[in-house]
Amino acid sequence: MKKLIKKINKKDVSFIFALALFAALAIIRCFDYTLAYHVTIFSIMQNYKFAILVTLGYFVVLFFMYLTCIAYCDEKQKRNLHYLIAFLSIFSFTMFLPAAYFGTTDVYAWLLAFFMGTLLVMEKGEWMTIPLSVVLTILSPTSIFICSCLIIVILLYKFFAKNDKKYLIYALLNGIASVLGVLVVIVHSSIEIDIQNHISFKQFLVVLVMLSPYLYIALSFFAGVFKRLNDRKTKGFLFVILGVIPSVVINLNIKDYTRALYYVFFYFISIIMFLVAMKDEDVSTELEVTKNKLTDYLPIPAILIAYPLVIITIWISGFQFLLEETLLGS
Amino acid sequence: MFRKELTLKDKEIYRYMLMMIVFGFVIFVCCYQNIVRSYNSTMLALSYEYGFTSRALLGTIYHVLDAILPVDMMNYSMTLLFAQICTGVFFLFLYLFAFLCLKNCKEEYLKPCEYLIMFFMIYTISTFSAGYNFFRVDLFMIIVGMLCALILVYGKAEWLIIPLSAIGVMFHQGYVFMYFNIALVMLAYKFLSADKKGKWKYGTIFILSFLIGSALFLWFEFFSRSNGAAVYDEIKREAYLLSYNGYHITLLQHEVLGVDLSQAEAELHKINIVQLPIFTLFCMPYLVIFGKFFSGLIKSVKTKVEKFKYIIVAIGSFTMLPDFILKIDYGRWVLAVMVYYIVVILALVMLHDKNVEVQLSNVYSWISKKSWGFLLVLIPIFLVPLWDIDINGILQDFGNRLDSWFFHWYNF
Repeated sequence: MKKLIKKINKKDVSFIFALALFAALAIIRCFDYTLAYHVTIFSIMQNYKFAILVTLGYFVVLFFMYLTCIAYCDEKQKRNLHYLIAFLSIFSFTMFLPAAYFGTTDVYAWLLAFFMGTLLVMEKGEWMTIPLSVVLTILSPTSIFICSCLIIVILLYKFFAKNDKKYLIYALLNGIASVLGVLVVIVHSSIEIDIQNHISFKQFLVVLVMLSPYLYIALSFFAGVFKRLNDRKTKGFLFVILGVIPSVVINLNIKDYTRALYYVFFYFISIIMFLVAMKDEDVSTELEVTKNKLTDYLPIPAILIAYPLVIITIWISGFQFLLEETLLGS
Repeated sequence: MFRKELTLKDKEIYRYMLMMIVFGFVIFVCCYQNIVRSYNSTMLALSYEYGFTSRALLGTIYHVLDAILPVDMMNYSMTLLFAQICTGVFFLFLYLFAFLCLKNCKEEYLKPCEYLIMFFMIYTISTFSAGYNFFRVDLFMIIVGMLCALILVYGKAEWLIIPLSAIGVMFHQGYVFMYFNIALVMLAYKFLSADKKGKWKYGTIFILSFLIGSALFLWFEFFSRSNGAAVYDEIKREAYLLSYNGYHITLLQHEVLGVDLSQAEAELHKINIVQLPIFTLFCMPYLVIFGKFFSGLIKSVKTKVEKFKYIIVAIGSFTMLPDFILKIDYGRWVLAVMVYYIVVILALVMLHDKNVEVQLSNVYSWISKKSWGFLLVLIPIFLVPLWDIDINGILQDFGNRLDSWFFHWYNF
């Protein structure tokens, strides 16, 4: 912990402090103070106070992850990492506060996934990802398609990047552990999918169109990364790209369009963040190139973060409702 | 044949305008609810055919259009169409104002102006797209305020400020507190900056504008409702036709019959007392920047006249104090304060006021060096759209909870 603190400078502290205030504002804006019924494995997970405690724990782990990534990344990449953190935060701060997703098992899954990702960045206690994967999929079986995939692809990328068989073994064991967790749930009860039809298909299409510039940015970023990678790392990065597919397919199939959308952003932004923190040269260099292209083209680069926030806070989690006008007669 | 080479500044401006058009469109799509509230549609029933009464200019224009055009405008679907056209014109005017600001400011001060315009757009587009304030008469007052600013910047036909002041008050007598300050402060600024001949001109325009605005305000507020009872039923019938599902009875009782609402509104002040401090807390970073800007501006000048000039600019929003004290629509007052400062500062940059330019640039450099600077762009998005009695949705919700947890103060 002391080593972590030594690597963080004044600017980082002021950034994190400002981000914490931003998180407080997001909580005030988006929290519905309502625990709706969600499919959970333990009855305590349906307790309102417990759900609040876990959500706060999620925020704590989120900030711990942010601090770790900032501490471990290259000094030259810190500014880029700040932008990535802010970009991830607009999704990660707002996702689990509205009634539709507050208290869902996804919070536990992402809490554990972010913690495991942090261990992989620190390269300390990496073996813990295996038992934690079991816990993750017991608490949230459907998160095997996103959170478990996230950790496994990072391990696979590390294997291909460092040519260290340890990571291949960890990836395989994580996969087995995740499946084991799901099997425990199946044996104990059965898997019920917690579907939240928070936004309709039409709204989803409109949001997709509005967010299409990010698809272009992402594709050109990935193309740039691929051009830089050697053959081994290319295979690893392919896993990174493909790792999001299970979540998208499952969530589109069950018509949970909010999860389908949010988790794509959760997944890719957090992976890029982890890789930058791990000082991956190819990803860091391409990130710098992409940032320079965007700052050259966009007069206000911060609009890239403000833009999806408009859609999230005003529409998806917003106060918009059709005003009911009543006849005001005598 | 002759192709004008775009300068770097032009390219930046066109890229910025494209970016803001896309951003503004997304804000509009997210906020728009395709409804005109009864408060805003009932306003169209007020007309000068019933007497020279307050807030009747918009209704008069609507009645004239109904008389001229070969369509029956006295129904809700035409109200909605008219509202959509007016709002579209308002947004076009916002973008025109933004474009003119950027074209007229110097290249080295482009960036801070871009940020100011972005804040302006976030607040105005969201507020006037969302159902609560869609087609609210405030948008016409903002147009009048911006027109006055542009006229004074370009220095052409400045006498038009006088009839525009009248038009502003005729839209809504609240104009004298909310957006009249833009014209008056700019006139005071030009008066103090001008030579002897200019002082005569601006002094005359200031006095005449002030007198006409004040006279109309007093007329509308205290004398214009003498025959309200005779026309009330007719206006009520029209308001019903023009509205989605019923007319706004309180508006008609106040504007036509002159019923005093202060008693009814007294309880609602509690909402303001709870919400304004919280809103101020949320806006603290901007207040610090505001303080830094104006204190730096006033300290940077040497002569008493210049200091006085900038003090007037700094305290120009104090015309809102009567509204904050006596009335309850804090969402609209907060918007008026923001619009005032942004429009006036942009106008001064367009006038190439060296001190304002330098100070704006200094503040911008100070913020851009901070690691958290770009987060300032994100905070307004949580605070929009602005409403009226409740400043916005986040404060309505948070204020209600604070009351139910701690104060137990609300009785409604």
